[in-house]
Amino acid sequence: MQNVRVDNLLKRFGDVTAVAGVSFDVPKGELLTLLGPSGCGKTTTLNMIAGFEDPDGGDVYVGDRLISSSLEKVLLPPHERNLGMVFQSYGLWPHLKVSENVAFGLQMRKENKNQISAAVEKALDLVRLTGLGDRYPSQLSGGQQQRVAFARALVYEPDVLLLDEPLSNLDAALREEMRLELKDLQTKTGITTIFVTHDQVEAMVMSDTIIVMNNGHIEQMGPPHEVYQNPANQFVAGFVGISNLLSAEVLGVARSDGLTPMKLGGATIFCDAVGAKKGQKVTLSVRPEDLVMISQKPKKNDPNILQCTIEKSVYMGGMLELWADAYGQQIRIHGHRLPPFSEDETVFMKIDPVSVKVIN
Amino acid sequence: MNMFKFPSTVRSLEWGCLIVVGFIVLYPLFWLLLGSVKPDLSSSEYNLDAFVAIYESRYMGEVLRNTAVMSIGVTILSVLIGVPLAWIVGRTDTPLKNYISMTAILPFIMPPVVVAVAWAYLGTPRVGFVNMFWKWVMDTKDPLFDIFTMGGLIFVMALSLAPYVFIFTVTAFKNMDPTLENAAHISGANKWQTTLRITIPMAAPAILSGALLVFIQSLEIFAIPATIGVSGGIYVFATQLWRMMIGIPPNFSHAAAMSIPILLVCGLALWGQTKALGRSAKYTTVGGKSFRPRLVQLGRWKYLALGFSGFYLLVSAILPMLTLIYGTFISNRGRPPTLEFLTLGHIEEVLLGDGGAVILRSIENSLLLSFLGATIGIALAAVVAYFVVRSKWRLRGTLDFLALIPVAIPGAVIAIAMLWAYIREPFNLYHTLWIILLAYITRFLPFGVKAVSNSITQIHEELERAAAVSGANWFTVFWRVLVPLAMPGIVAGWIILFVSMMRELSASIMLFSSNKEVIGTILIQLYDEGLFSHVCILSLIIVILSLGSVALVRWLTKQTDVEGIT
Repeated sequence: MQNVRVDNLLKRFGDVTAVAGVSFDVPKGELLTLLGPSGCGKTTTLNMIAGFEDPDGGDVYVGDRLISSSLEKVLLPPHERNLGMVFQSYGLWPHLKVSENVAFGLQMRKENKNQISAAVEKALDLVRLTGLGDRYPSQLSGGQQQRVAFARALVYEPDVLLLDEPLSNLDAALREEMRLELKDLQTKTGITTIFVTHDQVEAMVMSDTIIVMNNGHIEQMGPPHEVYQNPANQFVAGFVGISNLLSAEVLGVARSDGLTPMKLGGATIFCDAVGAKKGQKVTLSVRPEDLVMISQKPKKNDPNILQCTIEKSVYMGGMLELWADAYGQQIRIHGHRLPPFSEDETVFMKIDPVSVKVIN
Repeated sequence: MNMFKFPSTVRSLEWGCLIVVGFIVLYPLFWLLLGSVKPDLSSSEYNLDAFVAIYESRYMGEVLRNTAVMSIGVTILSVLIGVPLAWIVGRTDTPLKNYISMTAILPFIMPPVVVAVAWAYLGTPRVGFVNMFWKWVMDTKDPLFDIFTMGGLIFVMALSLAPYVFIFTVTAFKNMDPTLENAAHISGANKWQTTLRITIPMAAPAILSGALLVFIQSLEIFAIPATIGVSGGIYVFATQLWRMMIGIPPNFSHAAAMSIPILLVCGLALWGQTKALGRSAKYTTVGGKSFRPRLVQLGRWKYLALGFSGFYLLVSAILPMLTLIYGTFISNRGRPPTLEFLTLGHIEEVLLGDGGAVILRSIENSLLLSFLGATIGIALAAVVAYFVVRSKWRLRGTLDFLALIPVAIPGAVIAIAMLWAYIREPFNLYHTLWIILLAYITRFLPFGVKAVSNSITQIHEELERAAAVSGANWFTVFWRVLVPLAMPGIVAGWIILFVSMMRELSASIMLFSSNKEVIGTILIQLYDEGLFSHVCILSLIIVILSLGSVALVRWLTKQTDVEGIT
């Protein structure tokens, strides 16, 4: 097991810059996620680490080993990098049995036969496929094929595990189950892992660190709760979870408790805004679940309360989603124990100052 | 077409289709079987005398041995040529790949009969062009090789048939999910290990299916054994069958008895081929995701790859073509191709001279037969293909199977079976063009069905359902929606049938009669008479016609790959 260091990785396809100088470290044993919409460069980054795409610039280290560097003209082919990878379509060889699929990497490493069959058995046990080694991949369910792909990637104890959207071919229920199982597997084996996905929930559940990518850049890097609670910019706020992005204006300087007043339509919102100047236009990010409905009509100048007019109420089973108008801006509200609302009804929503983020 | 309450008229159409196909395929086979066990039709006695006679004849043993050696040799050599070519085109960075992939259309442009006569002229020990060149370069009196041997026979057959292995294999290589190779790389396999352990084994079913098709074809082709083989005294199944039928009197029951085991072998091979093809499809199906297959960087080896491909195209296409052009314009065979020895005299003679009349008549007959045959054939094929692809009828599979059977019947066998079936009341088709027409339609029906069904498979069933929901009945849907949408496939299929019929030989050689010659039979006759330039002109006409058709098919299907025309 090794740490991974990616330094200023660059890739162009013709005029398009797919990856524009991306750098990050993955400490030993951690799981780092590259999260972003399709075309953001996350898969290209992974493929450059794996050796399937040649970078136009930048270095990749696994431990002390330089596996790719455009300056030093190092470009190890994939088979010399000692990495394990699980592909989106699994890539199980249809002409080989499950056990032969898993054994392949060990055969390439010239292990002896007894060791191979013992290791294959152990790997299949690990992914709970004991006894299915004699089947062909086509005789397994999607979830089982997925596990075989993991066993195949882990069996030769690679330095790093690369996961290219491995859950996206599964149905919703199975995907949820596999998420947790995969995280368990990663923790149990303690393998350094780089995980590519466009599914933010997957990223939240599984990652030690999340990198949000867009247009070939890193927009934000941090642990899941930080990325969710403190989105660095509009893109992250909008991509990771749902955010209400509301325009406001700074009303004055910070109070003694450190909170700054903002004017949002007819309401005054106090929140943490270091360095804000009076009269400055800002964007506030508020998560729909952080808007709390209050039952009584508030007093006239109570701060941190938005008066909203319901436009649409959508019942979603576990929760109710409200689309409402607040001083000419549209907001979304998520609530769990809310009664149904009719259109044009007026409601009052309270916002805790800690759940309001000022975004530049 | 489950969404319609199938009107009884449509069900009757399905039955009609099944009966017609069943009849033209099975009725002659029935007479073939009957003929093999009932040598004298006027008596009511059944026996196995014909089988015993063949089994006991030492001569037959030799024919069967020759046939086995030839077919197995051709199959192996075709794989040895076709698989490397497919790998070079599908999976490497060899330059000029577009030209190498022309291999796929070779059998369509250069039919066996043309390759056969050209190589007979190229490979004769004393005056063959290749051997003359060899003797001149090496300053020796010994020829490089003699084409009129078993080795020569296998060589020429494999030149002609290797493209089938190529076509199936290159398709598999190109459609393979690159993830599978990436997975091998990341597991620690280098490019050669990946090619040997993943790429080639994954293409194995496709290779097998191409090889089995070559095997069937090697039993079926008449032209090459009839020129190269017979000149060397080597008789194989197809030529022996012909010899039995032109004997006086024709020995029908022995010919029928000899055909039965060959039919069984071909049937088995076709069954295996279908299975292998199904497996191959399983290996190559990808979920519509577009990808760039990774190409193996050959480095210096690419010159070897280029040399190998170039040599194949040289001997299979370029040399034969040069021979035909040379023969068309040279005044006397053996003269150097300089201006003073070039002439248009041969062309003039064919067009206007006495000897030309029979050639022109054969072209006329072939045009008439091919036009009618392709038209009737494709109409039948379109209906069959439609039912095979869309119908939920429980006899759908039977129809599919019946329409595939002719692939496994060598042309010569179809011909003698039909001869025996239609010579009698109520048909009396002997010595007519109609029996040849019927033979052509039967033989090439599977190719027409394949062309149209490929096309229909690509049409979303929703388009037909939308018409049905809008109130169109079955016939309206068929005519107004399906036929126009499938038109490229139908036209391509028509052309394939037309060209195949234009140069058909295996069945024609058994069925033609005086004044009822066709291009193929006249070509063989001219070759036997040693009319070098006439053979070349007629061959060139075939090649030019075929080339034009390929261009037309390509334009119609608007695709660069040629999988559709095989």
